[in-house]
Amino acid sequence: MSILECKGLCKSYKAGVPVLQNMELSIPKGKIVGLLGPNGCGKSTLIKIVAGLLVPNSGGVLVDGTPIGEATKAMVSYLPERTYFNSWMRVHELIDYFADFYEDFDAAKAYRLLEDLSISPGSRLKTLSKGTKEKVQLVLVMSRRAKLYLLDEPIAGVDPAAREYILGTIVGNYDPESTIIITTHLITDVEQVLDDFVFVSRGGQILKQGSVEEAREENGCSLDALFREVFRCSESC
Amino acid sequence: MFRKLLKYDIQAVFKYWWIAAVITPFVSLTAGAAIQVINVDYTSYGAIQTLATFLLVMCIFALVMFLTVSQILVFIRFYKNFFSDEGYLTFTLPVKKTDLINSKLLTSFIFNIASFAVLAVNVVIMLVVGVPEEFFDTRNWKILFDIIAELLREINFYGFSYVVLGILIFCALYIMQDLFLAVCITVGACITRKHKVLAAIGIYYGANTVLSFVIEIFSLTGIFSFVGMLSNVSEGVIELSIMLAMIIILSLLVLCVAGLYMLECYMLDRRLNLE
Repeated sequence: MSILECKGLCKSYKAGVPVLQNMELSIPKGKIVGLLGPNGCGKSTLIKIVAGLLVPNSGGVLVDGTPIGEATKAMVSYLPERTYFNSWMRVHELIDYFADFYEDFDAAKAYRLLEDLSISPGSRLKTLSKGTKEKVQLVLVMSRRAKLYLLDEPIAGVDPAAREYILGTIVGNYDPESTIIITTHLITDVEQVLDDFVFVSRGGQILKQGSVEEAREENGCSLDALFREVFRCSESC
Repeated sequence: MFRKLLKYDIQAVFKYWWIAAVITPFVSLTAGAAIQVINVDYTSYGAIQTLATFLLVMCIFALVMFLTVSQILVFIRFYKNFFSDEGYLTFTLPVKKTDLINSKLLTSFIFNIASFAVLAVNVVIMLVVGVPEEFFDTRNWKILFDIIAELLREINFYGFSYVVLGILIFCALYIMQDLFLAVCITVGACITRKHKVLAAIGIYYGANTVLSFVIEIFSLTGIFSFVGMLSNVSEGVIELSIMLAMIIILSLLVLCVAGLYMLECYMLDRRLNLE
C-alpha cells in the first residue's frame, strides 16, 4: 500500500517550461525515503504539490488514497526550506498554534525536544538566530504524529553538528507506521538514515527507485557514489 | 477551525491596532484644547487661533486616518498570512479555503466596528474638552432626543424600509470593498513571481479606475431616467419606486459580492503559487 501516488503529474511555472512532466511515482508506507536529484529537477515542486501549496497543471496526487485537500493536510507534516513563522510570536505560542490546528500534535513532546535543545519556550522568534528558528520548526513538524512527513532540505545551510542533531531528531521521533520523504543534496549525510531512495531527473522523470541497502549491494558503492554516477551519465546524455 | 483562525487573525491585527487606538485619545484631547482656543475671543491673538485651527484640522485628519490604519493593518495581515513565507504554514493547515477567507473578512469587519467605536469615544472626548458647557447642558441633549423621538414617531413603512435597505446596502458595499481589495492582492500574488505588492496595487488602481468609470456612467444614466420617470407620478408611487431602486442596487451589490467571493476562492484553490 502506497502513502503517496502521483499519476501523470505535470507542473510548469512558465508556459512551455515544464518542471514536472507526466511524473509517475509511488512511495510505500513506513519508510524513510530520500528524494534525490540535481537542482531544478522538481523535488521541491513535488513536495509543495503534496503539501497543497502548489496546484498541478494536470495529473493526480493521492496521499493515503485521498486527493490533496483539507483531509490530506491533516495527515501531512511539512517542513519547508524556509521559516514560515510569525516573527512576533513566542515559541510557546507557536506550540499552542500547532496544538490548535493539528489534532496529531504532541505538545509535551515539543516541549521536551525544545528542552533538549536548550530553547526557551518564552523566546520571541524574532530574537532567535536563523539556525535556532529552523530547529524550532523541525521540533514542531516532528512533534506531530503524521502519516507522511515532507522534509524539504532539512539539513541545508546548517553546520555538521546541527545536521547530526537534525537527522537524529528525525530518526528518533519517527513512528515506524509513518513515512518520511527527505529532499537533499547532502546525500552522504542522509544516506545512513534512508530506507529507500528515488533519483529524480529534470522534468521529474524517475531514473531509479528502490532500497538503499539493495542499491549498495548491487552496485558495490555508496548511494552518494551511485548518485554521482547516475547523474553524470544523465547530464551528459 | 474557523473560530481558531479568527482568534489568531484578531490577535495578529490587535497587536498593532491597540497602539494606534491608545494614541487617539491624546489626539482628541489636543483637538478639544484647540477648539477651546478657537472659541475664546482673542481678537488680538489671531496667529494663535490660526495655529489652533490648523491643529484641529490635523487632529481630525489623524482621527480619520485611524480608520484607514485599521484597514491597512487588516490587509497587511491578509497579504503576509497568505502570500509571504507565512503562507507556507497557512495553506498547509487542515482548514477550508473559505474559512481562511471568511476569517479575514470578519476580522476586517470587527476592527472596523472597533475603530468606529474608538472614533465615537474620541468625538465625545473632543466635545467634553472643547465645548464642556454645551456638552453638559441638558437642554441640548433634550433637543437631540426630541428630534430622534419625532423621527421615530413620523417613520412609516417606507421610511423604515429605507433605513433597513440603507444599512444593508452599506454592509454590502463594505464587504464588496474588502473583497475587491482581497481579490486584487490575491490576483497580484498569484500571477507574478516577484513584486507581488506592486502588482496588487497596480491591479487595484487599474480595476478601480475602470469600475468607477462604468459605475459613474450607469449611475448618471440611472439617476436621470429615474428622476424623469418619477416627475409625473403620485407620492405613493415615488416611495415605492425609491424602495424598488434600493432593492435593485442591493441585489446588484450582492451579485458583485458573490462574484468576487467566488473569484477569490477560485484563485486560492486553483491558482495558488507559493514558490
